[in-house]
Amino acid sequence: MREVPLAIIGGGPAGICAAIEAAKYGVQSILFEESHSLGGQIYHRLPDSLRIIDQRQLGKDYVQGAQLLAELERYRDKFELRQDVLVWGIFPEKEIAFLHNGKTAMLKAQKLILAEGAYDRPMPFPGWTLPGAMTAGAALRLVKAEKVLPGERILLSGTGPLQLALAAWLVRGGATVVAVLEAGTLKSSWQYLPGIWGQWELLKDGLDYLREINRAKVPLLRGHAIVEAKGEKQVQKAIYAKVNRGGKPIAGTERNVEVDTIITGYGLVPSTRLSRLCGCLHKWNPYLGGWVPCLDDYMETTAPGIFAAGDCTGIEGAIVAQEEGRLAALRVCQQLGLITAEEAGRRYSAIFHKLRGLRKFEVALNQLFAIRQGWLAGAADDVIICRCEEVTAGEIRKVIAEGFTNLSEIKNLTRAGMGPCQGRICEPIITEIISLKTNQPVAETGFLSPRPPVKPLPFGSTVIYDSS
Amino acid sequence: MTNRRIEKGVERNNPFEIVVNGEKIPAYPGETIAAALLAAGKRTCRLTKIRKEPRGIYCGMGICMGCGMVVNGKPNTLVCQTVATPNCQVQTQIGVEDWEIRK
Repeated sequence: MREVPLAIIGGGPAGICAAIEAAKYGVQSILFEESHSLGGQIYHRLPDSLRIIDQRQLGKDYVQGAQLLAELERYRDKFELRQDVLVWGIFPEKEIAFLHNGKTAMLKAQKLILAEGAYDRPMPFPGWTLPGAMTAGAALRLVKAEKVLPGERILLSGTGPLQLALAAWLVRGGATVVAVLEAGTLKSSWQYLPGIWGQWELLKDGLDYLREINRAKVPLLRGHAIVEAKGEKQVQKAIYAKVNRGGKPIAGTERNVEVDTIITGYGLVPSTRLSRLCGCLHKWNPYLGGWVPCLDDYMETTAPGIFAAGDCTGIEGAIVAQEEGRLAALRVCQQLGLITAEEAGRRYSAIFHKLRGLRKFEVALNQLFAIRQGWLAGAADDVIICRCEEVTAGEIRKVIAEGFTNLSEIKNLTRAGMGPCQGRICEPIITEIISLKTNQPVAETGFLSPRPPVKPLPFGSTVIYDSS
Repeated sequence: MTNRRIEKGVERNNPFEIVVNGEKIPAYPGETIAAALLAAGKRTCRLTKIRKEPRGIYCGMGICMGCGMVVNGKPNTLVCQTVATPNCQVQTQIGVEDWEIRK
């Protein structure tokens, strides 16, 4: 089997920066990206056939992404890029199985950096499975990278500043944003001031978005949330209401609006399928978005030689992800003896210095816009929780009441989590349902252990044909 | 329906056609099938296996599997991750893993 010194999985900000640093110090790396272009969810590239005349239609992230990709391009001959390639399994001894053009190949890596990224936290409510109800990430991608509006009359429900950014993008694109519902009340938000203090550039971004949606007269309603989506074959109406801290609608405050699109933005969940598969130890941290791998100061997981970087280690944004990617790669270089301890130490302390302020800011934001207990777990019994296998909240609660409080047991008994998304969507919800119903902390409920392939493969494609 | 493609400040190459359940709709080079469908106001990608409920674009990043359609005869193709090609045949799918094309 072919051997490489370093494999990096995920071509977002963390993976790109890891590849850059590895290349700088002469570590041969191979960078795997599942989609057809680098940049990850935040730095989407635009197709060549789409030209942007108005710079406002590009945005700040695009410019940052372009700079990063230009930096990577300078090292183009010093690493191997495999785009459109799905890494579907990691086996003992860091053997990696990947799929390209319907065929699987394998290679062995001395060191591994996982940069899996994150995905939108699912929020179940009656009608959330209707076409026209989608996540903030899906909508952002459409409006930023495809320049297509997800709908015409749009309701946003969620928490946190990403909603403001999305609303501004939608308004800029010509959509009508009926309202932005912020489930948090932001009471006692002054508590988080120390973490936010000093990060003026990041704060200014948020204020700019706020100003833009104010100008467009989009109502921003604090302490409100989506209650129900209605429609025959797609979203036609939404009911929203004032909610209490636990996310329960307050009777008498419901409002009906005609909309064709409902977008939920309740923060992100770290993608940890591969780090779980590698047997790395994980811990539950609500302010980092859920289950995250346990890491040392240099991003190494509890599995020696396997590192993780970026949002898959906690939701801290693209700037932190870049520094983490660099940090992990530098550590790899040091372990492989390609960088002196002195040089490494100098680089580490510069990165640690940057990370301290940035992480404080992101964690303060995550605390300010924390997901409260009951938001995800509050769906009525007839609401579908597992979208793949069509399992309802009631079916899940029934087996919990029978004493099955472990995710794997619930999966076996109800099929929830057994479908092709492999529990990515329903696991965060079921976890909260168990926790609320049994009064045990989420940290105790455990998580589903994935088995390869981590994504469904076309029939016959696990046949391993070569090792290139 | 107003145009769902943003045109202000944006230039595109000439469109081509793709065929969705026998009906022709425009798509632009580089665009995903999902974007072309949404721009045409078409939102249902598949029907669920048990309840036969419609599902559309949800996560938009290839993890929820909600947008699996039959593209050029290949089932479970995630249209949010698949770039449209001229005359590609896109069909509504029923179920996910055990698939059949909606007649």
